[in-house]
Parts: sequence; C-alpha cells; structure tokens
Amino acid sequence: MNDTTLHRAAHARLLAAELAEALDAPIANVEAEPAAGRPRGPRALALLAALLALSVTIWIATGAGGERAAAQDPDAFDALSPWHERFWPHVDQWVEVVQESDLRGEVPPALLLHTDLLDEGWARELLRSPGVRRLRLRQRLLPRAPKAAVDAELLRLVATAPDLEELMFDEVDELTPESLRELRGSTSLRHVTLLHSTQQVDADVARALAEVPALTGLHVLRHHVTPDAIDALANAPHLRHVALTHLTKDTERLGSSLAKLKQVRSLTVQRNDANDAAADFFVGRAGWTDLAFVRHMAQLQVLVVTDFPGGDADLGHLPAGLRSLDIGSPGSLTPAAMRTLARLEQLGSLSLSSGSAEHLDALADVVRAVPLQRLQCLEPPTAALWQALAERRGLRDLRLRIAAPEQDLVRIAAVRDLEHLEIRCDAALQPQWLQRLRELPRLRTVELHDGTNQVTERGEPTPELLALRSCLGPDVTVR
Amino acid sequence: MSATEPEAVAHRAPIDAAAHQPMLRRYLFVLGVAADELDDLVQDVFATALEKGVEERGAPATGTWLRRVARHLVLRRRASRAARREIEAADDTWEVAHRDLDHDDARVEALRRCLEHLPAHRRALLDRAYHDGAGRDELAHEFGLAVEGVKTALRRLRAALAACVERRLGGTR
Repeated sequence: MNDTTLHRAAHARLLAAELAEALDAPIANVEAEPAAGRPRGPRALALLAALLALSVTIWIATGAGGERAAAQDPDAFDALSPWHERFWPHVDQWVEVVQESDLRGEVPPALLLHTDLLDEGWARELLRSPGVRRLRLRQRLLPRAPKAAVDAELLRLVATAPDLEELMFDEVDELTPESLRELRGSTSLRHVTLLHSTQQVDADVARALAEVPALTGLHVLRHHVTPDAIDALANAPHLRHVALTHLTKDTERLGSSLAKLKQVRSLTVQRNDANDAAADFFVGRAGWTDLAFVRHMAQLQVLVVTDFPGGDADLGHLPAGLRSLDIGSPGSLTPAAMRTLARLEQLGSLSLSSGSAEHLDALADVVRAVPLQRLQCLEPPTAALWQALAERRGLRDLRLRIAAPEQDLVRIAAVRDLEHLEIRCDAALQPQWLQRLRELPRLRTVELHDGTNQVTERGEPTPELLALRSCLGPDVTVR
Repeated sequence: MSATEPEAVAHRAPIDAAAHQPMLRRYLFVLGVAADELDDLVQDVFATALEKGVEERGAPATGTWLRRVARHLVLRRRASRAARREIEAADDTWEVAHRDLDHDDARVEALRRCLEHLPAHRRALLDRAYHDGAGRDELAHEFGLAVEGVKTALRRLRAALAACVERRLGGTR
C-alpha cells in the first residue's frame, strides 16, 4: 500500500471510532471504509485492490466466524456493568410464541419458545430465518415428559439460527453434554445463560459449553456449579464475562479454580441467599473465605461479590485496572481498609448495599479520589458523604437510600452532573421536594422505590405518584 | 481529576483515566488495533502511567504522553516494517486531523452536532446499523432499500458526516 492509501484507511478508522463514540455504539459495528467519493480511472482499481487487501487483512486479524463475533465485545455497551445485567431490562421484550399466528408475519429479535414447539415445522423455519438474535428456551409447554432431556437434534437446530447471539435456557432440566456440544455449530452465539434449574453444572457440561466457538459470556443462575466445571471453563478461548450466582461448598478448591479464569474481564460471584431454604437445599453455599484468587486476573475490570467474604488484606489483591466494584455489604472490612479503594484510579462504579457510618465516611474519601461515574449506596449518607458527592464532578448515576427526603433532595440537587437517579425512601415524597431536582441540567430519569412509589391494588399509579411523575417536566422521566 | 484530594488518601493528582479513555480508544483504533483488543491496550497504557507515577498535567500534555505510550505498545506488538509504516501513517493522520483544535474531543463534539441535524430517518438508519448492529437484510426491509442500497446509503452518510465535521471545525482552526 502506498502512503495515500494508508492515510485514507487511517482517516476512515478515525471517523469510524468517532462515529461509534458519538452514537454510543460498539466500534466493531461501524465500517471503517474510506467514506470519500468513489475513485475513478486506474487509481480506482489500485485503490479497490488496496481496500480488498485491507478487508482481507482485517478479516484475518479478527478471525473468521466465531472470533469475528467475539470482537463485538459487550464491554462496548457499558463497561461499568456486569455484562449479564443487560439481560434484565429486556425481560419485557421477549416475545413468547406458542403458535404460528403469534408471529404476525414478523421475526422477533428476542424470541421465547418452549422446547417441545421445536417439533413443529413453523418453529423450525423460524429458527432458520435471519433476525433471531436472542432465544430463550423454556421447558416443555405440554408436560408429557417434564424431565425429558433436551436432545441433540434440538440444539443442532438452534445452532443453525444464522444471527443467534444469545441463548438462554430457562427452567430447562436435563441438559446433556452431548446435546450442548451441538452448539459448536454456531459461529454467532456469544452468550449462554442457564437459569433456574436444579441441574448441576459439572465438568462435562462446562466442557461442552467451552467448545462454543465464539462464547464470550456465561451466566449461570441457581445451578450447582462445581470447581471442576470452572476448571473446564478456563479453556474457553474467548470467555471474558462470567456470572456464577451459586457455587458449591467445596471451599478449598473454589478459589484455585476461579483463579484459572485469567482472561475474564467481568466476574460476578454471589452466594445464595441464606434465607432461601429451597435454594440452600439444592445449591449449597459457597462459604469461601478470601478473594485472593482475583490477583491472578490481571484483565479484571468488573467485579461483583455480594456479601463481601474477604478481609482487609483482600483489597490489596484487586487489580489496578478495576473499573467497577460491587462489594455488597462490606461488614468484614475496616473503614481504613475501605479507604484504600482510592488507589483504584480507574474505578468508575462502586456499589455498597450496607455499611456503618464509619464505612460511609471512608466511602466519602474514596468518592473524592476516584473518577466515579456511578455510585450505589443503600444506607442514608453521612454528612461527609453528602459533601463528597457535592464536590464530585462527572457522577452521572446515583442510587441512594435517603432518610430525610426534604433535606436530602436539596443535597442531591447539588450533585451537578447527575443523569440518572434512584431513590429509596420509606416516607412518601412531596412534589415540591422533588422539584428541587429541576436544578440538575442533565437529569433524564428518576426511579422511585419503596414508600415513594405507590400503586393501587390494581397495579395502577396512585394520584400522588402521578403528581410526582409530572413535577419535573417533559425532559425527565419519573418512574 | 477535578475533585479535592484528601490528604489521608492521595498525595498526588493521578491521571484522570475516565477523561482520557475515549480519546485513547479512538487513537488506538486509528492505529489499527482490533476492537476486541482496545480495552486491554487502554488498560496497559494506564497501567504504565500508574507504574511510572505519572501525574495529570492538563489534558493536552497528558493526552500526548498517553498517545506516545500507546503507540509504543502497539509497535511492540506489531514489529514488521509494513506494520510500522502503517502505524506511522495512522499517527500522522491523527496529528493532522487534530492540529489546531482546542482539545482532543473537539472532533467528536462536532460530529455530535452534525448528528443532531441529520433527518430523523437517516439518524435511525445509523442507529440501527451501528448502535444495534442490525444486518443489511434487516435494514433493507426496515428502510425500504435494496440490500446493496443499505451499504451505499451508509457510505454516503459517513461521507456527509465527515464533510460536516470538517466544515464545523473550519471555523475553529
């Protein structure tokens, strides 16, 4: 390539990167072809050849099929969130189809199907058609054989869906390694979620999942995940995002297995709810004692550990590049140790579900020191924390519990860069208090929880709630 | 970092990673770094800054320093002569495109203003294609275009936006 071609290609990449940023889109989605007018004459042929060579280079560099799909990293959507959280806002968007007429001639991008419907011709055709990007497979609609294994033929069919990126098994029992292995045939499938099943995820199941060529994300909720399974997942070449919400009691091996997930950028590990007897019955409790395993995860950017299991020493293991940390309840930490989070210079998101007043004062120091864009604190802030919030620039997303709404809304109005606000408050809010938020020029959404968000017995908003929704004007959505 | 540093926590003003990160991602992409490698390299650049104890010294100077480190890291990964030439041309392109601008994000800000003035259906096409990642078949169906027409429409839109950015920046250079 001559220098002119190199400069044009670089300029095209510059525009692609700028466009991706301006549209808040993944860079991988935006073409980086020279956008200038069509070239003419012999130079045109040379340029076309150069572009072809560049395309081939890009294709080789990114890899065919699976690796290319893996390049569309979910980090680009929201680097501060655990990747699996983006499923939940879409729950209402799933289109459940139980007969062909439900389709109304359209192919829904997020499709919910029961496994036994895939025996029907129209459902098989539907899966083969372009446009299905998310598929949620739910247990049989007709309980002829509720424990029937999901057979290989069914998943072979799923693997043929040309645009499928996300596959969710919802209350589907009896996933066999043999059938899961059929998903190797899909080069577009990037995320797999296993939800609500009593089935164990053992090494064989995990090994089959690790063979899905483009797998970048795995979310396992309410399954018993064994250390051997985690060992097997370490072999998935593109796995970057892992969420395991229930783990085994095998405490000694758990840490060493998790440490093998060296390439992971987003990790969620949660213990099951101690109050959930049913969950405790079939999934056991994690019971780990430290977080030393994260020191092996140099790429880690997002870490969620509810009921923070470690002690002060564990914070020293957190990688310097961490951008998002959710430690739930920091009960086992001293406030002084919590202050050391200030060394995480890229920390953009921090979440605490509880903490003492001393913890919140320590949090205030952290808020001042790191470039937080999002903060969740489910205890009423102390005076020191209110002061730090008022000084913090660039804080766009704030989720707080407040105790004295009239005064606290005045304090919130001092957090100048807020775009999204969530308030938990036991007392009912008055519209004139909420109106203080009109002083926030960038505010777009306010979510009200607990006593502030009242609905009637029929689920309709009360007149008080309707008054709150209208008091901030048309540019701010209150829900 | 704009916030006050408490004495007990920090003794210096570290680099404001959040402020420089978008620029760094764009720069690395211009150098030819693949989309799935951007996060790793950005992290490596800031890790280098941390290691060397580099302090925030204002957006232009810190940005220049970060780009130099980024370029060095990319060169280390791609050592061939052809790759070096490509990287140098890309760096040169970046410098020319940002010459005489007030700050590193000026081009993106100009682009955002250009996007605001796009007709709604053209903006929708961009959003569906680039934000949602919709395929050409899907877009052709949604926007009543031939499949090849989608590619042409997107290319023309990119060209129009590039021209719009240059027009807007013309007044500030």
